[in-house]
Amino acid sequence: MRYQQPKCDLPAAEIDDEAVIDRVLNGDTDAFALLMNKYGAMVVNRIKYHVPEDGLEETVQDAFVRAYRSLETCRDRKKFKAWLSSIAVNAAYDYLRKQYRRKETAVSKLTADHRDWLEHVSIQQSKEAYRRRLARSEARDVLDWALCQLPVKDRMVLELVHLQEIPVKEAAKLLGWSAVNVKVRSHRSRKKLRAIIENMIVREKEEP
Amino acid sequence: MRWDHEGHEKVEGVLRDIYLTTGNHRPNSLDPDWKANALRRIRSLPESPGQIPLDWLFQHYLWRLAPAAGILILFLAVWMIQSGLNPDLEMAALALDNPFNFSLIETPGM
Repeated sequence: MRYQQPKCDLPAAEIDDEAVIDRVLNGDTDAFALLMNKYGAMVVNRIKYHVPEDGLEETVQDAFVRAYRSLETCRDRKKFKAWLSSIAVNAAYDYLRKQYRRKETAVSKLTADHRDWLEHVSIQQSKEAYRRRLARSEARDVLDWALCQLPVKDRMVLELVHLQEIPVKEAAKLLGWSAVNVKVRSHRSRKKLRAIIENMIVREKEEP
Repeated sequence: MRWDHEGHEKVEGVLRDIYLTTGNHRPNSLDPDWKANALRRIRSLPESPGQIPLDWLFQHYLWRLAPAAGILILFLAVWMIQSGLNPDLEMAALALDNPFNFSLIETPGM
């Protein structure tokens, strides 16, 4: 059989997932590049909310390597996109888990400016004031700090269900967990986030 | 200060908007070499994609046996506590082809 160079410049819509998967499973590794072209942006989009910029490329690569290794387990090839999304979310989850284990998540100390920002956010009224608050660098610092306080499972669920507003059922499919587990954990993680922020205000006030 | 429900809602709303805004601002494209790098990693894999990875098999099948294994362990532990640990007598009962004295059969009342 003659070696065929994969046509990487094919429009994404013309790429037939099932046919490409068959080719890959029959030993044509290069054909996998077609799937990477078609779904690269989707995988980046799935991962970029969870993983910091310096870990993004590594995690996207991990997701595709895992997809390649597990291609045989993709039973319903018509749902390849959903299957790949789930792998991407799990790659992001594993990245965070590794970071937590190495204790590399940046837990910076929040300052009085952050506390002031939070207090004003809770009482702000006008849209203009809201936009100004949103643009402040303290905003992202507070969010990053609060997320780092949560266990990685709670963080993942909170990000998917409450921050990205993905329905519980879909989040459960992405994570490969039961819907009940996701529902319970999302409720708990939201309560934890509230407690973390409230404690932060109280602690900062008590400190001299 | 103890926040009321409204205060929490406001803070959560702002944090959600920050999360989505910063995520949206991140570029959707990576270094142009990322695909080549990923393909290089794929080509260096020892197994072909036709082989189902062991970790996948474990995750999808073996852990499902855990409840049955747990029940079996529990049953054997109860049986051991009731009958005591006399493996020599059990073996002798089996060797004498006398299953009525074999406590594994006695315990469930068979």
